[in-house]
Amino acid sequence: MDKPSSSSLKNQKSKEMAVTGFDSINDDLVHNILKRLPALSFASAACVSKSWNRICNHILSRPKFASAMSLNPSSLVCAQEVVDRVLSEPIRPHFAIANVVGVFVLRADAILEFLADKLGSRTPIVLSSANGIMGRNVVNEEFKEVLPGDSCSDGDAEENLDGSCGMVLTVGLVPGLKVEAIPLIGITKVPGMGVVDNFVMAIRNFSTSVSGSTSPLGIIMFGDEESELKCIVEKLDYALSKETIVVGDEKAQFVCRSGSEAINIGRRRKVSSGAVALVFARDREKPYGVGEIQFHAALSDGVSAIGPRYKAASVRVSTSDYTTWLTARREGRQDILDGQRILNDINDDLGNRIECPALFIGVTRRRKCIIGSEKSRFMTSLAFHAVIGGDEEYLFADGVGIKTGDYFQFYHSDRNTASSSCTNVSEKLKNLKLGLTNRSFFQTEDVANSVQEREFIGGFIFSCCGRGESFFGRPNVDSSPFLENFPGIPTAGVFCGGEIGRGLSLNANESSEESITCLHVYSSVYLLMSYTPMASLEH
Amino acid sequence: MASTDDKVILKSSEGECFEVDMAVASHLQIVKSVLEDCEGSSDKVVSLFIVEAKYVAMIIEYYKNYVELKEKHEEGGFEEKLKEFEKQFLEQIDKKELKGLVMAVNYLNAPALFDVVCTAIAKHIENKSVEYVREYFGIVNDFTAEEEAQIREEHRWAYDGVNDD
Repeated sequence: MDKPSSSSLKNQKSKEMAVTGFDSINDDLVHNILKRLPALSFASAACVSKSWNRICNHILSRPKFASAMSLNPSSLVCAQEVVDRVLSEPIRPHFAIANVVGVFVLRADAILEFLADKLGSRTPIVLSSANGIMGRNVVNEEFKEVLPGDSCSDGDAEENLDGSCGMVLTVGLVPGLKVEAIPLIGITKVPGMGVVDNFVMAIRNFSTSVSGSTSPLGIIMFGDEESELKCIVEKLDYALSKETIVVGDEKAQFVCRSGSEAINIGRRRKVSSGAVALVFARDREKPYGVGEIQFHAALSDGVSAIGPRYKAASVRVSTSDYTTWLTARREGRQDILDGQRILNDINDDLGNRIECPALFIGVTRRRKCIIGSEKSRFMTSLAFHAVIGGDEEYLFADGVGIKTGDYFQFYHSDRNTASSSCTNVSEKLKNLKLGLTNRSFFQTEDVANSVQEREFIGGFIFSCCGRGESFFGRPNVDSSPFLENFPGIPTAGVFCGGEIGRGLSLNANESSEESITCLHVYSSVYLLMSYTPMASLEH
Repeated sequence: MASTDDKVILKSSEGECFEVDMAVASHLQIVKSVLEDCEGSSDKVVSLFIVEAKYVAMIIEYYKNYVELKEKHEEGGFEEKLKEFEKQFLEQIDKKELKGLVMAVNYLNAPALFDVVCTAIAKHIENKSVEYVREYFGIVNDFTAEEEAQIREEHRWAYDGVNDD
């Protein structure tokens, strides 16, 4: 603190100074007052004078997340509550993610418009409907996972959701990064390759223009439930560098704002889209003094392999409902098996251990990938398809894209796997927090040396709607890795119908099959953002 | 904490003297360090040169209550009681005095009260126009018209949805 010199103190003028001369006092005091303002008043304060503007910019030079959940049954009250909460402290929204559950999906257009009013018409905003949401409730500050009814099983979802609705809002300030919502334009069940190429190219072009690198730092993606995301994510995986983290919800319903354009709005959509990517790229023109933001991602697996490997013997695609009808051979055998026989074998293997697990086949796909006119390359990936059933002819699987000769194996949802992998993720986050993580995760040595200075700024979770309290038999298991390690940082999440998780840096050392898939089932995908201040990068 | 028998005299800018318990005065970091510097000296008068008597009185009132409440509610409940008192304390201070008080508290380096007063000032300028804030703090707008337009544009997101004021 500045101590005024004694001669001036005794000066008669000093008395006056103590009353009026507010601009003569040090910036610290102003800083201390301004940091307590809610976001809107803070924005006004930045317009007061040059020195105040400088102080405001300084306060906003560190990244910040704010998230809040409300379960108020009125959609507008609910939206107002979460907005008030996320704007209760200084922040400048660089992006916003809102997730609604229940009947609010019917008000999505109005809610999006409201958010654009409050958070800025040019702020990239994605609003998705999810099976469930998680976040800190504005009413009692409690973190809660809300997964109404058994909404994952189709049918009378509307009925189950009746009366339970809510919204979680995440707003982020990410100095040093630029964020853009890039939609996949064109909505078809299986998007044409040209459409996908354009989408991937748009992401790369944005990243290149901002950072000089074709691969952005990270992507948060929302797919439309009507649209098949496998080929899009596969192409992204092919087109982007290994370090780029992609997380998201494969089967949402979403509306969004990109630039000042609204997408998927209205019944007769002017612009409609099958997927949207919130792309985060490093700004090569970031102001001096701004440190570095890192993304970290981890996966909690929830399925276990069971039974032998099979090889698809015949494949039929039903284009009416986008299912695949299969026959198969056991690996190393000649006889062709029908759906009934395959399922009987698997059920024998499952025994009575589990009442009724969700069943998937994981298909190992080896496909030639190409983007635009670039050179093609083979990519191997594991694609999960839900098993719908089997008869004396075929095994029925959800989705398309399986070819004759593809190998596959059965997987079943497994609470023990899920539970222990959650513990595992928690352990990894703890190590990350303590700075014990393997060095190879860091992009530069400087960053590795400064892990102690690292701050964690916010988290987001994508969990399978089949998990949650009813799956684990106890609450908040999916969110536990964050709650245990980072109880103070803003965290939000959704329960969804398919989790996107790529570039899972925290799982990097595990040599398991999940490393070759980006679309997971019965999993939880964790995204954590951290910040290393400039000062500690320099020393 | 110093024993309650200890007294110290705080002298305002006008020369007015306030006798206070050491337990109270020790919350003012500047007083504490001055006393430490002249340890052993029998003269326990600390001049608070730039602080007017009315602010000295306010600060003493705050910390007197602070110390009393803390003693009384050692078992718990101190924080709620303090909040109650703070509310009532702030009610008797007008907006203009808040500014003087925060500078006095800043000068005396008294963390708890500093927090309270900063929050009160922030509350006061919440939702006020830029012009009001300038006037309240006596700040001269040093932006050129173009600069101000540009700054306001940067913060436009905050006003997109605002139709009035």
